[in-house]
Amino acid sequence: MLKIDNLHARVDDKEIIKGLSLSVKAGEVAAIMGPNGSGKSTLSYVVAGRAGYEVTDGSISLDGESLLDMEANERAAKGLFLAFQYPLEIPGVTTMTFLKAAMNAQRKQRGEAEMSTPDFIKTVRTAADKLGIKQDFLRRPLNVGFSGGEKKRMEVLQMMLLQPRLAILDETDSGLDIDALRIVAEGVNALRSPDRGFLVITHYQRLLDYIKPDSVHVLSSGRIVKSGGPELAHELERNGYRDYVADAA
Amino acid sequence: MNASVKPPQSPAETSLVESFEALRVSGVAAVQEEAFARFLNKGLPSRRIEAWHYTDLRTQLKRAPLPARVEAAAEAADGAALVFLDGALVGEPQAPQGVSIERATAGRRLAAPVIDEDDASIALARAFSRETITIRVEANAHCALRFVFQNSETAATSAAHVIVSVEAGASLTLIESLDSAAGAGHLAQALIEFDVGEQSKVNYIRINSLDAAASAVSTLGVDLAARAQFDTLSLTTGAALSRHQIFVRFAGEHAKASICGATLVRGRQHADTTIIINHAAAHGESREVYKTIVDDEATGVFQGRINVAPGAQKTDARMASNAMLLAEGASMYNKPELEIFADDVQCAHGATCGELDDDLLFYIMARGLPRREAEAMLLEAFVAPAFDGVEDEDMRETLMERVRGWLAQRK
Repeated sequence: MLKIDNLHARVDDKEIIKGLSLSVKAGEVAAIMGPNGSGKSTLSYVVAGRAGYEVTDGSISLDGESLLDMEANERAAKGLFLAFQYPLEIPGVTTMTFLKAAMNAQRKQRGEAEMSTPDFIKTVRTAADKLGIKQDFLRRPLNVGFSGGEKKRMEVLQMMLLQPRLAILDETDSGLDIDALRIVAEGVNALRSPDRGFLVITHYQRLLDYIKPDSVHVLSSGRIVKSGGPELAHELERNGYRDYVADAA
Repeated sequence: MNASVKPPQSPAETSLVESFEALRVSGVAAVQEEAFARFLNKGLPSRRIEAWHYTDLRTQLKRAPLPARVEAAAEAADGAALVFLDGALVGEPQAPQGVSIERATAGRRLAAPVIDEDDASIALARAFSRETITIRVEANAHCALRFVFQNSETAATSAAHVIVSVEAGASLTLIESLDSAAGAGHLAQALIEFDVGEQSKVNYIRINSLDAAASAVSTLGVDLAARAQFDTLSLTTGAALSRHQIFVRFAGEHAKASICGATLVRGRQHADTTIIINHAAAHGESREVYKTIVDDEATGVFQGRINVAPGAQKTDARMASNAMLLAEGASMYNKPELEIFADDVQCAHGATCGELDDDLLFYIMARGLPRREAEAMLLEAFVAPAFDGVEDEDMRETLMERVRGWLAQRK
């Protein structure tokens, strides 16, 4: 489903991703773990299509189609979703308005009809209930004044509504207490399905207790330096990243 | 003409002399002559005059067309609308209950000095005003009026002068629209003066959607009695060159004014809003919220000055002007000023100029919105606070719809 091959990417003339290859199959939850500065967030931005992140070599494709020439919104319409490590606040745009605009923009690009307002409201309310998001939040400007945990839940709400093919979770566990972590993980687990893939980026193994990965990859200095099963995450938790940092250096 | 008058300098001034000559053919009042002589003595305001530093009419106004011919009133205006065609009031408008509308030869003024009569643009507007329309809202009456300023297919230099007197305890909602025929290079001037009586309330919304070939120079003067409230909002998307100046005087205690606006310009438009708030009495409250979006090679100007006189204790004055620049060639001059001679006041001003936030744009695009839609979402949210004070929800939606329409036309 997602195939990254020999990816090289730079930001401001600094090469951050240095020949990274990775694939995520439909139904698979792949975890990427790595020390700070290894290029985890950069990888998520490059895949999502952020301006200023220049791909100098290699390829990224989703369902066999290259993403590289697509704008971020086109990648989203193709089914790519990035849950941000630091979700942004949008003053003046209510959460409801934002969600509706996002859903309809994607539908429009896929040539589908817009969702009717009653259907939309019902869908949002049901999803919000599952995540323990109070209705009142939906009327407030998106993420403005929300706590870290509330923002992360809002990211998962968006993911539930947009029903992506492939979701990238960028350090979704950062800033979450245990209760919030459990709710967020349950939301993600509910979305696991045979035709959806996940790329879970995290620094700590803790998140992977709640979202069980099928594969674990260690990212260091812009490359995948080791791949394995769930046991690799536990090994990292015990020994830290120093072996891999040393390898890369 | 007075022999001591300086010779006109710029092509626009020369054409204004021709234009005034043409006006004389159909007769002008002595006060118009006197006003034109004052204008000629000063000439068009140029950048050397501080209040006009960013809008140099002398060079930016290329030429002034002839005035429109005086024609017999065409169709009667509908309902409570005063229709002005090329500056002249059309027909005999029907005054709603509690309102009287009187037409008189030019020359009336507000009793109190509110506007800056030294300003040459005001002398020019007085010179070209054939009559003064005086609207009186009786004490304790509640009514709504509309001003419809239309400008025809033939470019004309025009001016309208209206005095609105709102007596004690009355309330008035006034909606004004300015439009002009496509491609006609009008010079549309207006001088609108408000005498807002004790405990009366005015809500005045002004929508400038003149064609991009027209120029507009307008002045609003407001005199506030004790406990009066004046709320105004301007939405400006029109005119090649526009200057809207607002003078507000807090004459009575405990008066309130909210002066807000949104200006959206593109191409080579130049839009100037200049506000002078004079707190002359204690316990006054003034609020200004201005939002300006400048695209392409357009220019926005916001000058706002709050003066607090020695006796105007407990004044609470706040002014904010925020601008968003959408293109390399776009310019904004943002100049807030405070001049305070009282020691027990709260005054604040803030001015910002910025660009759309790339992080926010990426976030919105990553959710599926194409760039232009993501930008429009942010720009709509940027402008919206200017309309917060509009109580009528339908009107607020009408204004937002115009903003969306403007955003949808971005290339």
